[in-house]
Amino acid sequence: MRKSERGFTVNELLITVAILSVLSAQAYNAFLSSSQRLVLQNGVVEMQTEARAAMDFMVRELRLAFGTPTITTTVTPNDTITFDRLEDAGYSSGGNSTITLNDTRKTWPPSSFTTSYTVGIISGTGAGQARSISAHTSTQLTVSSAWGTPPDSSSFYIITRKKAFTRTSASDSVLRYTAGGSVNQPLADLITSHTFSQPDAKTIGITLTAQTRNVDPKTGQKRQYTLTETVLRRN
Amino acid sequence: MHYGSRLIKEESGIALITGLLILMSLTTIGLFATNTTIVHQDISANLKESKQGFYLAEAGIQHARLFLIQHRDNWSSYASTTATPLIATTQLFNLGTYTVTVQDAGGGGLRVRSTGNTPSQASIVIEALLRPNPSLFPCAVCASGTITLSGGSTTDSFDSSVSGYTGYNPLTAGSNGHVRSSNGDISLSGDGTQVKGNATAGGSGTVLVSGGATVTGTTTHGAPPLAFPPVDTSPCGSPPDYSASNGITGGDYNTSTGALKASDGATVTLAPGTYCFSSVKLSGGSTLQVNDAVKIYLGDFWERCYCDRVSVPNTPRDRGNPHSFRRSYGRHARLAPGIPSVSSSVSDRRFTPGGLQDEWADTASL
Repeated sequence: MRKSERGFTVNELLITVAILSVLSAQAYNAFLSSSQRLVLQNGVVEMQTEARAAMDFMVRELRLAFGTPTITTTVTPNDTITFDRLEDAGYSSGGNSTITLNDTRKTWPPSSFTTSYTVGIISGTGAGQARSISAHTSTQLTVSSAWGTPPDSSSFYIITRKKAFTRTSASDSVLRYTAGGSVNQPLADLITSHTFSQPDAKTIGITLTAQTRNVDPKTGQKRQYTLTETVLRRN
Repeated sequence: MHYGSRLIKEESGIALITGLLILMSLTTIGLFATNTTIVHQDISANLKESKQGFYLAEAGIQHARLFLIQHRDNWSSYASTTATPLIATTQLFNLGTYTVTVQDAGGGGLRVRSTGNTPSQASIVIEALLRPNPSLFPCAVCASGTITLSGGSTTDSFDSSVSGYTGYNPLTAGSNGHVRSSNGDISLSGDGTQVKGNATAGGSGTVLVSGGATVTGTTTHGAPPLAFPPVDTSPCGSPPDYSASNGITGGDYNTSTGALKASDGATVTLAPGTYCFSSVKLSGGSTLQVNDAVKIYLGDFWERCYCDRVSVPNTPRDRGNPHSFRRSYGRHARLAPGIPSVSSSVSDRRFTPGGLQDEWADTASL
């Protein structure tokens, strides 16, 4: 039935196994090192993404800070910035009662503002007053306590919300933020340190350092990434 | 069954199966790596797009701001109730485009909305609320008491961002040369005496126009009193410690009485700095020239005599306000109309009041 059933000799098999083991050992090494590199690079990318996203968010918010922000120390020096984030602004259209402010040019969607939002009169009649917003319709704000001087159509108003960037503990590497009444929601992980500064009246400097989750096996240390931005406040 | 066992016994075709398995696992690894790369490329591309869109929209805001500053006198024509195009879609090389619309914001302000579009359809909107700065130049001559203009004195205004003021140029002259008293009469008399703007007398004051004097704008009596900003006169001490003669060229200055006088066409030049005088009197076509920032505190009165005269008898120290100095006094008080302030914010709800530094002409000739 079969012409030859000779197969391989032991010598042939030994040589084959030897060659194959050398080749597969090398292939395994290559696979191991590139998979390590992949994990490491993914860690680096994750760190950079976290840092950039956090920085992008902070720059966008701080650009709209109204007035001079307050920089304080919570865990590390100058790691907390508290500011009034401008949400809207305009001139009142007039016809206000002692607890309302109308702007018929607006169409505020429902639930745009809560009591954590403040409406302040910047110029015109009633300038210098600020009240929290207790309710609103699409064109009218109701304030929590009566105006001393009700605003009229010359009143320029702004709506702001108190916000802050901070950290709560030196041991966790989470950058947190506060908006209105909410407490310290996480914004970004892997941020080991951050500092705010005010080089002059209109600018805010932000420096943050992120760190990879895992140790780089080659150097035995975590990799770090530092970003610096300067924000020009618009208001 | 019989056929299958024969195949395995012969081991023919095993190389194909092994090869296929190896290729499949390699392909899986390759696809995974490619996928990761593509995701990260997308992240980077989105970041770039959003930044590019933001800067395009920002360019639109700056374009609109400059345009509106240069067309300050026509703001009312842009103040429609719905958003109307202000700047048509503008292509910036191959970076993308921006389009700007404008809408009435009430109170004389304009709501400007700039949309930046990148070639790959990212779209960023910035809204800014531009409003005229009301505090800067309410009037060419402001006084807490009476104002007297006579013998051919004129007040006028011009936009220093368009051109300088060279004598009377109807192309650059404006209509903001207002004269305003807080509580006192405004007396205008004599041929050629002209207020190129409004004459508004506050409190119990009235506007008295006689002998060929004209007011191009409206004349109002009994307007509400003005609130003059407080002036810090502490640099001059109390009683006033008048300036030494350093930095004062030309004219006649008495260091003990603090009186600065120039007559018969003389030119007094003040070097940059702060001065404390009791009085300044310019007569006979004289000129007071400042070429850089000069702040003058007047402890007594300011008077210009050559038939034209601006005197502020009641609260002379108000004249120490540098703004007052720059905006008033003279044959041709030079004014820039209120330069709008600009502010902006990103995304769907954002505007900002706020202020930019205003530009001042270098030279003031009185």
